[in-house]
Amino acid sequence: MTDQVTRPDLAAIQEWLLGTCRDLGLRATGPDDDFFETGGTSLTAIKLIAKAEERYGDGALPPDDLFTQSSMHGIAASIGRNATVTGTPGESRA
Amino acid sequence: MDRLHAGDAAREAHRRINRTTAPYPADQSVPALFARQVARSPESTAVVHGRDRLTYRELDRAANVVAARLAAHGTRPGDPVGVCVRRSTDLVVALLAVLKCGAHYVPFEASWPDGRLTGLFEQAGVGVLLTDRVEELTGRFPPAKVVAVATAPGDDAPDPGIGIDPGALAYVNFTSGSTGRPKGVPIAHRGVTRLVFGARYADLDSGAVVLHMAPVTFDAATFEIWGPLLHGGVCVLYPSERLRCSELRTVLAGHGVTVVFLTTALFNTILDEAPDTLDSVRTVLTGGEAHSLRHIGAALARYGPGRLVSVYGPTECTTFATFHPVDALGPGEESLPIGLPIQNTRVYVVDGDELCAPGRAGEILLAGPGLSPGYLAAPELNRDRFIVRDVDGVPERLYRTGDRGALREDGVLMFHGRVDDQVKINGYRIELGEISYHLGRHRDVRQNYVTVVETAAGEKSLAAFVVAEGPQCTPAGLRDYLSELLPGYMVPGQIRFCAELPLSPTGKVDRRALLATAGAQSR
Repeated sequence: MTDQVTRPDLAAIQEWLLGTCRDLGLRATGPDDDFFETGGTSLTAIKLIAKAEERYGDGALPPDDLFTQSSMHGIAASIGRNATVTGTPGESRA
Repeated sequence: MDRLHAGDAAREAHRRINRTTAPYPADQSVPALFARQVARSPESTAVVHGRDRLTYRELDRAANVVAARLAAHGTRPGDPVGVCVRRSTDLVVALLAVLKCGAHYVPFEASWPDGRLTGLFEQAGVGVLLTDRVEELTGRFPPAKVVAVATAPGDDAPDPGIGIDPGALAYVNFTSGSTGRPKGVPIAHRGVTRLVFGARYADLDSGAVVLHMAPVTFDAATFEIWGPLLHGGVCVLYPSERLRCSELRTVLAGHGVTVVFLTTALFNTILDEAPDTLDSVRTVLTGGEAHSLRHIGAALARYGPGRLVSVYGPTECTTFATFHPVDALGPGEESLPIGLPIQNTRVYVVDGDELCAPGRAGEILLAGPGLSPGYLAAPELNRDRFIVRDVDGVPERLYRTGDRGALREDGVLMFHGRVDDQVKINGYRIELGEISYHLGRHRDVRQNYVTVVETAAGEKSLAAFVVAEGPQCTPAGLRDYLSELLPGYMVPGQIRFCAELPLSPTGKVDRRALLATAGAQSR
């Protein structure tokens, strides 16, 4: 890995996020949907954060961000700010 | 005195599993046992929270300061003190300070609704609140005095030097109550010492490093805090408010945590998402709900035998009542046993007035010094749940758990569900009746039925089915109404309206028909 971090594309994060939330059983379909209003719980939050870190590096989704900016758009933006790997398939974990 | 009758097989099996007597300091209070560790190793680390660290001497001194402050506000032996302190070294200072006064702590969350908190304070007789949120709590509960927990490094005060009877109360936790009123469960000092001395379920000694992560309103915290601190070990506080697997992994490895307790739901989540989180820990205790064999199997494969211990126990029996080391899964095993009683604890499987022989199911009853002296201000409930029976020629005070179980041929206890509608969701113990009671009092609700459904992701969640009086009744309105009365984890995630509640031939709500017609899956 180089020190130079290429920010992942926000649209790609959004797509990954919606797919992941659906896999977690949420009813989220668009960027305005809220994580908690579509069925997310504190346990689902732990799962989503772990999945985000798995793909975008440790610290990619700070829990406080998820709990204060819980729309799909807000979550994607947080991952965009905090990602340490671009999350492209095949890239190794940070 | 009524007798529990027993055939030879039942008597023999119960005698065998209940030989649990082990030496423990039954004549000492929690502060007296803590003082022994202060004298033994004053400079050892007692509590760690991020960069904050207190030695035994520092923790003792800070607790003396806060104890003096509480005494100046009128706290006397036998008094309850409400405690609302974020997870921090101050939290441990607060708990120890209350105990040093000979008082008992009543932990609560500032986020609980005012009405519920007022009720809890009345029930427990709380008139003093010890907190790190002085501004937030001042004036919110007018008659209560609000006392700050913060201390400065130079502060000092002598130990209050109060002799505390080990039978005196140490704390009160509240659990859900089906009549709409939470049940206050007081626990004595001796209940705590019985839990953490001579422990069969984990190594607790001066080398113990135990993670504290559970809300202190939940009795796992009793083990997490007093387990290490009464042995000269280290209590490591999880640093952030909210859990992140990667941070947990770093904390566990970085501080060399030897024992961690995880609720079943959290354990399963970690196994699914980030099993490397627990790689460094010697003993993983998990319990609170029936275990999933898939997750237990995955944990065994990853961590190996000798690391994983399933624990079981209601709040009324001080945190843990039974344990089961998971070293292998037998072929064809359908559920994980809840195991054998921990030290100084006895377990009985009872059907009517008979002890059950292995293989026969009955209600699980518990006995021993871990038992609560009885719910606060609930004489009728106490007569029903805490009973005295002659067992094998000896009078035994028993707590009826409401859990069903059966002894296996080898004496190991198996769990068979509940006798009532109490449920466990993410470690929280909830009486569905308590939610239903409050819904039923809403003027727009004609009928209601509350149950547990599973989300598409396999998580358990609460669902309420409501027959409304009129169109003005909305799910959001009912949710707001319940949020004023109940903690967030008891407010149903989905509220669905139906024209009527389908009934089974026996006149009970037909849950299956209701779920089918309402399409009550979470999506």
